[in-house]
Amino acid sequence: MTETAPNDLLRKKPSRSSQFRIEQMDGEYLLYSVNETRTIYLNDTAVLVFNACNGELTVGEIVSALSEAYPDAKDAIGDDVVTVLREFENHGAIELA
Amino acid sequence: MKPVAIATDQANDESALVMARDVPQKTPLGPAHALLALLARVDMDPACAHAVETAIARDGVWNRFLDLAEDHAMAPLAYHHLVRQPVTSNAATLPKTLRRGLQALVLRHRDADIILNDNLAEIVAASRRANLQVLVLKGGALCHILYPDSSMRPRRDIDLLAHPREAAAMQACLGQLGFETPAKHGARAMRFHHHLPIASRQCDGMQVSVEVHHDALSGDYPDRLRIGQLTSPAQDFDVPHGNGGKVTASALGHDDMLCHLCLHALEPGGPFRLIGLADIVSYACRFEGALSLGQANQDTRANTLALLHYLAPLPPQLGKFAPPSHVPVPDGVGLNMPTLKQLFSMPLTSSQRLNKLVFPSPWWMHAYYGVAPGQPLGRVRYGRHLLRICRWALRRGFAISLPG
Repeated sequence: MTETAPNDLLRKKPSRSSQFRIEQMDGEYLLYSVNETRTIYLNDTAVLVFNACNGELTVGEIVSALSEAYPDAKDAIGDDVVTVLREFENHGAIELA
Repeated sequence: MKPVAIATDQANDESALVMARDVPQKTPLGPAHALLALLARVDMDPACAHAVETAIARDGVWNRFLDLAEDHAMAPLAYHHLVRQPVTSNAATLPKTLRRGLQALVLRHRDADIILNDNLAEIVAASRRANLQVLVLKGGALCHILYPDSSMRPRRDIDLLAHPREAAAMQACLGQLGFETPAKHGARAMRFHHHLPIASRQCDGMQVSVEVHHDALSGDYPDRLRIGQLTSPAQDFDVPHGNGGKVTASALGHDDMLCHLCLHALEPGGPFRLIGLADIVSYACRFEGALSLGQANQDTRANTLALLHYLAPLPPQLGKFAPPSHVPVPDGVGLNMPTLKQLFSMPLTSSQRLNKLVFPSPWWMHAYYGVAPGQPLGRVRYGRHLLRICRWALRRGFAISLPG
């Protein structure tokens, strides 16, 4: 777990907004909403994080799962996940309950 | 996204009223517009692909490209020819931000396409149950008849043609499907419009609008295009909907279709929409064998093709309609005459307004009045055009003057 991620955030369970969905288009992943004018482009990690936002896993559990899957990057994963989740939340793509 | 401003494009027009000669109007439509015009066809031929390659290499080609693509309903076609199935190797120079912008627009049009198809299928099925004949007009039919994927042909609404005696019944049918059907048009000037007040309903966050026409042509035209007066038998096409289902709908026959596409695309109202160029040229190519096209000086459709050649070279298959190279290119290529409403909303002096009214784009006058390229416009400009302006003004004035 990263020291920069507040503990209350790690306990939150992010859930995807029904308004957004991931589209793959010609080699790129887009987070797309019919009702919004913005489209968010995702790298592979961001896709994993978004798909993990099922309302049942906590942020901490998501970080742990990704750290296990990518042990070489585990030092940065915590911050990356928090940053991505904040971006998703800012765009209304997830809710942090 | 900001629409193209006519006033900005024509900022170099003369301010004084000039009589007895054609007024040259500069049309700096720009390299982005030129590229989009070349991309405006369903099937790309090698000559056009080469022209696309040259156009892409021009300075400033990507300036306003995304805005223009959307204004001209060209985003899906542009994406198809530049990214999905690039027609030239230098299409890869498309900036990443523009590519992503096009992707977002393609997705939006795809979602709208699904909703519009579902609605059209429901409407067609309902019209059958009510024993009403309807033909689907414009993009709602073309997207299925002409384009490999209906989402490649953006539409804003659904246009239907009903028999004049059945139009009201068709509107009532829409009401039973949950569409709001206003009793009157929003503006009194539209009282004698060629379609009933627009019916609309919300579907999945999108407003679906339906126009029930009793005439495919605006009353501003002296001609009519109504069920019962058509020259070619209707053609059937399938509308996919739901989970793999489909409904068979009907559209204008080939000759009437091409006629309607040409006349509709030339109606006053700003720049000639490039999706209209794609529709007309691609339709003429695809169904050339089934069309009875005459010479440019006898057939409005052939003449329109000739004038469109100045926007983007016609495919070799339609080469016989291209004007001879010695014929001077008319000024104002790609610029339709503004509507009366647009003219009076522009920040112009009275003389400028009158100038645009009496001396619209020569290119447009050739196309709208069926005057072949190279032929003089004098008789049309000082005869038919002035009479046509009077007709437009009288129709609207009469509509506004009636009580109720």
